[in-house]
Amino acid sequence: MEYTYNKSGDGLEVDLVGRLTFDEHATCRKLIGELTADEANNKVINLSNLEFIDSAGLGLLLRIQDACSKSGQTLSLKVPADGQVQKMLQVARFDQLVPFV
Amino acid sequence: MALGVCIIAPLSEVKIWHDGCLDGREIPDTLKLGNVVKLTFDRDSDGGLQGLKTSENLADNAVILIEQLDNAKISALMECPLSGIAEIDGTNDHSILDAAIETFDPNQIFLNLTTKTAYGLAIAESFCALLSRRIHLPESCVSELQIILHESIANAILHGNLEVQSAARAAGFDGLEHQYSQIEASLAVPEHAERRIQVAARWTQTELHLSVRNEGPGYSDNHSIHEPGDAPRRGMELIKSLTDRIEIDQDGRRLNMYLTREAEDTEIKNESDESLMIDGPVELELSSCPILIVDDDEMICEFVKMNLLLVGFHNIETVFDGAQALERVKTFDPDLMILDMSMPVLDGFGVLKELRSNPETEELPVLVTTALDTHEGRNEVLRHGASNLISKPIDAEILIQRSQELLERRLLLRELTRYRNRLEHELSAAREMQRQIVPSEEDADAIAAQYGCRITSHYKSSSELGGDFWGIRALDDDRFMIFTADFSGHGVAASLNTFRLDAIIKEIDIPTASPADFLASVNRSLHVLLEPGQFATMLCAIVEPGQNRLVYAGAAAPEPIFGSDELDSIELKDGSGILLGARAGSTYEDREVAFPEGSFMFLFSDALFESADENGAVLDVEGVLDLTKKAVANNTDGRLQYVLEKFYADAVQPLNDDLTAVWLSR
Repeated sequence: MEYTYNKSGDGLEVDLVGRLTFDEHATCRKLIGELTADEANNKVINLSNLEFIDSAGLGLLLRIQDACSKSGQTLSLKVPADGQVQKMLQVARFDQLVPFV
Repeated sequence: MALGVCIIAPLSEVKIWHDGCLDGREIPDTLKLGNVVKLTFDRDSDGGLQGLKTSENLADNAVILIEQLDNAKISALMECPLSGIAEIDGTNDHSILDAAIETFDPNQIFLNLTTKTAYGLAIAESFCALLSRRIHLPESCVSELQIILHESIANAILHGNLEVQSAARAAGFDGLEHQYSQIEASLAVPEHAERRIQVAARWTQTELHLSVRNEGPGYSDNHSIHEPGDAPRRGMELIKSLTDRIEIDQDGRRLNMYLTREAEDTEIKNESDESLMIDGPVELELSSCPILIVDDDEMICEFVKMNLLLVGFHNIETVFDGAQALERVKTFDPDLMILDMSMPVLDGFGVLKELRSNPETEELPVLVTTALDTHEGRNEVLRHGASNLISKPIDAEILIQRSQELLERRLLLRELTRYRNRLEHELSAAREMQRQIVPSEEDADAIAAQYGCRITSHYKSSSELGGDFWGIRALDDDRFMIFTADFSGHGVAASLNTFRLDAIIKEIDIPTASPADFLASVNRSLHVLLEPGQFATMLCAIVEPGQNRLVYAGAAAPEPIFGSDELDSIELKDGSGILLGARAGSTYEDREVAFPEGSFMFLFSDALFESADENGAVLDVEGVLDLTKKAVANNTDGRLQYVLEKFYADAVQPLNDDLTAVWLSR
């Protein structure tokens, strides 16, 4: 997985590309470090360019959300219209857990 | 069914079992049956993998044993109808081979990897791709299958082989960090890292059975791999929600997942060549098209054939040189030839030259496969008449796409030709019918002769069918009728109206004295029948030679020319009247003309005076009158012929409108 940041004012958007899965742990570790250090209040994670996500990936998103809410920040997701990622979010009913934008 | 077995060593070095031995190791008897297949990867200029070449037919569902498996190799292997892919690492290869043999089944595929290789590979997607080459997977269920496979593989790798504990969500990032450390530590333990994971799918008409097996300590019901309330627990929950049922066996090391196959999923694409024709992405008519593959490299022939078979084409033959190709074309009559350029006996250029010079084969689509990579070389191939070309090494996807395009175009052209031929045939029949309702010159003259008159006529339609019509009728012993009509427009619609008029004239009682009454009757019928905007002009004359007179009536008809041998007597008369069909209840005017011996009447449609010459000039009615006078002055016989010769000498042809000309003389 690769990712890029887009900062604007009080917002931070992270654009994820590739696979957000259990075996991407090295990249995830780095992402967690950077995200927790960032103080932007409105965080958005863009999943539109992600090819594949698994339950570990969903778990990571939930932990990021937990961390955000502890710091008084918000997290929302940009989601693709179709493909495996959309399917995964749908079957996991993820829209009930993290707000979509 | 034969089993193909091959070993791919590090990329450059291909090891094949020969004569029962590999590197001095004897091959188990169970493996000696069937093919030994040689596979090599092509590399592009960057050294990356480009494709897979097979030495022999892989349609027998080979099992690939491969070292150093990675995503690139897996992708390349997806191009083959493999039964299994197993990684070998020199430690327990024989047991893997035995397992492969044991589980070998035409309705099964498997993937067997070490954990260290599997970690980081997109196995679920690859396996789904492999599976979709064997059975039909509806688009909508591919993502779900990937999720099922991925989650079960993730569990097998992490919690099975690597013995990593789940991280509770409550533990936050610290819990994850702990998990990541466990993964790294466990991967460093050879005993863990070399544990294998086997993913298999087996299917019947109604059910798909997926299984994922690990070599860890084993999962048991009381050993919860996820903490309660933890999101990743959804892994197992997801699997349960997306499958019909699951079972765990082999001491908790294998997870079996069962899915019902939809009715449309039941076609097995590759069980045998015969089953390929049942269904596939290719439509039936297309899939039946005969395809001839020409290549001196038998391996390439088989590769091309296999890929075409896989998408449903089933009428495929292969030959190995150009001369054989030309011979085979005569009897096999292919709809597509896939042609190599450099071949013995007769090369591809020779084949193209021969095909294109023969009317029977000049349209045959030829897809050239060539290793030529210069523009000049490729252009030369196209100049020789190739329909399209693809590069060697052949990309299966492009091969299939180009083949389908060429065949679709071929079928479309054939359909159009068939349609055109049918249309031509029907038009020709209609033309013949129309010719029959217009009197022949001989028939007309024979009728006129009964009354001491002569008729010459000319009729030419501007397209296959015309809107002009004329006729002659004997009315009684003393009188006959002659008429010309011209429907608006020309072509099929106008010609249909001539048939209507013919029917009307046969139906109505022709008043023997008044052509005006006749036109009024015709108008009544036509007004009902004609579409708005359609109408006709008509001139009808009743000739009474005994009384030396002629009565005519016009409905917006071109002015008729009357006269005798006296040039001064030749003049245009009034053809006016209300257009036929334009409105109900039109009435017409009878006009009487003296018609003694030596008189003539010349009727013609507007094409005669409205057709332009090269300068855009038209004859006009005055011009027709002049020509008529000249014809009378110069010729005693063949007056109409004279007028027409002069007309056709100048008019731009083909004419834009139908031309009718009738010359009646006494």
